[in-house]
Amino acid sequence: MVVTTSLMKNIYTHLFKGIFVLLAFFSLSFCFANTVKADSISIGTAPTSEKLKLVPGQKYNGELVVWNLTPKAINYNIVIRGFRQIENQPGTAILLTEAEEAKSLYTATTWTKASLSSINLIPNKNEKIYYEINVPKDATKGEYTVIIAFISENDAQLVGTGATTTLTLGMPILIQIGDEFVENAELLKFSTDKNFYEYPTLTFDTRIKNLGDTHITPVGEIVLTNIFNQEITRIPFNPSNQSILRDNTGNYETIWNLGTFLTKDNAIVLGPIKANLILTYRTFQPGFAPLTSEITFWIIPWKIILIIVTVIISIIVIVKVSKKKRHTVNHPLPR
Amino acid sequence: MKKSGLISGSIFVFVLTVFFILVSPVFLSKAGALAATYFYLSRIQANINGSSATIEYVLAIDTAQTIPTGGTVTISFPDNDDTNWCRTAGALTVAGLASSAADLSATNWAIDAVMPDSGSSLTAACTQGSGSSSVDKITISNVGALTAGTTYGVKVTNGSTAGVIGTDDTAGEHEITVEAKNGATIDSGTFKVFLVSNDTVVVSATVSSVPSVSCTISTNSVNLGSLYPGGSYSTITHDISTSTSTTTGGYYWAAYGTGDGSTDAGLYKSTSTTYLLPSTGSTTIDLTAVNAEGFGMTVSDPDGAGAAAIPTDFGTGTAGTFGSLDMAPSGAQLILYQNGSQSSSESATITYGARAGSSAVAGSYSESVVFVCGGYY
Repeated sequence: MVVTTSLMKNIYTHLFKGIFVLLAFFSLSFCFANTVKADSISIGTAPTSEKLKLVPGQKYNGELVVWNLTPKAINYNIVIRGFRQIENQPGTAILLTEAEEAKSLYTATTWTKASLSSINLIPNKNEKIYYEINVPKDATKGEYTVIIAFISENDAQLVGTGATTTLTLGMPILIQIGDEFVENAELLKFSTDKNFYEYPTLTFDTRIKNLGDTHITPVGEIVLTNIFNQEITRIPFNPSNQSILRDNTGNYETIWNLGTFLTKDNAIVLGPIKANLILTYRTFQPGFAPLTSEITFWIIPWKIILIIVTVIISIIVIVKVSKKKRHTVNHPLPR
Repeated sequence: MKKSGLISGSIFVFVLTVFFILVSPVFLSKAGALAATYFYLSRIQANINGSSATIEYVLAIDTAQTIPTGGTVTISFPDNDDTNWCRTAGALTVAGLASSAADLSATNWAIDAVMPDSGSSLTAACTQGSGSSSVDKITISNVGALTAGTTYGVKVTNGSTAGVIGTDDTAGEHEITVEAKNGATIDSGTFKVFLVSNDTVVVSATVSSVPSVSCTISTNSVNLGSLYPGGSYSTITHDISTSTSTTTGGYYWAAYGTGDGSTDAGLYKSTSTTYLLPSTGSTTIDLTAVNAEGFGMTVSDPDGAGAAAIPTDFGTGTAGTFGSLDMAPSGAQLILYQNGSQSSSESATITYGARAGSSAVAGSYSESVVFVCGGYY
């Protein structure tokens, strides 16, 4: 009986030890790094977008090509949905959520069908995806949007604490139905981030609100003139032709980096500089509705000026002191 | 008299025969077949005229017996092909060849050595056939000793002034005889070459001017390793890279998280007891602050002062301060963009930072970060 009790005690002791070890292992799992098998993800597409002009009842067939630049095949789900701009960046696109899609009046999701719903992209091979847009006969005038997006499937098994990544790339399609559109826009902002600059290196921030019923692609230039009304330069505005969707606002950054205080035409780039923004955005008679604005900023190379002034003052002081010394030396001593 | 005349005549014929047998010179012919040979044409199209289109002949021969030095090698073409293989009679350019594209390694049909000369340089000339029993022929002279068992190579091309070679004007089989010879020592071989009406495949392609963009993420998962409740923050990195065609106006990258699916993005412990190390989507998160807790991300500028730009929140440049990710597509934020094309691939480093507060629950946390990439429309 004593032997049996001792044996039972031994078994319990081992059992508790085992449970303790297991608990300790699980509680510390938070602290351990676990290795996961990671693969790179890649996708390319051409074209990057389409702008179409269709009529009610029209059928349009198009294609896009996608490829995978990694050494391993990757599965992509093909999703067709409406899209919107990302923040206020013109020319960008992100899928609408299902809730947003349901509320949106101008998506062409139901009109658009792709030849595949998913694709296994093998490395370094171009794959064609065909799509068809069937515009309903009763489609009302307006601009409709849809994106054919590729969303990577991620089979990575994260065991520890970390993050998995998913890659989404799509081809936005802007479809104009009808002929006459309201193209209207408002210039909300044209500014520099400071009023004073040490060197002619700065960024102009422009914000435009699209008030029309179709996308707009504002283009133009910023004309800089100096204090003598001499033209310093003309900076192209929106050279990459980024468009603003209807009911959206677009922020544009225009970088100016001259790197010198004198232009090739010997116009001085110092002091107050006037910047005139002149934009057009309409496709029909664009010159009748330009967006314009004027600002002034200063370019003062104060460090250089300070050094020059210091040097001049130093020279004056040295000259005066040396003159004074000479005068003192030449003066005859009283007898 | 008649009988004696017949006898004497017979004796005369007999003696004359014996005399001729004894006195006349002995012709001992040592003719054999070439052990191996090939004739390689740089073009196999019929009617190569040697001027608007030129051709090279490569001959590889292995004799069955030694051909003494000072001999010749001849290539004879079919009688029906007169003036087509030898377009213009005259001297050709000839050179020994150590190897050719037609070599079959580890066989006799692989050149072992350049065809030797006899001390004087190799010369070659082509002559044109005319009518029956006269054929186009190429003769290579001043050939050095050809040893049996060695495959010698030689290349014949148009002469610098006169000789022009080509191919027959008829597609199909053409019988060619090659002969290595020095006096009575002769090895020869006959084989056929096949000419086609067109030996050129035109491959054409058009480089599209359609805008394109390629986006790559260097990994589909990253592990932040050890996070200690109340401890400092941990970081982990991976790269994103982009290239575009020159016709693309620019590219952009945006990102959003999944988090707990309802409150915020961030590292989420989905098992009981659930816990979120949040990324609120509002500006930045400073993980160096006292009792700070959360998750964020920074992006490195791929080209310094170049066209690529990072929004301020994701490129703070302050250690421990990270851009805060928002949740779901509706919270997608730009993390990198460029106005203008990027013809060579350009990389940016994504650095994730995470810190567990002292009240964080032990366990595995994860976040699924969705990157959105595209070209401007």
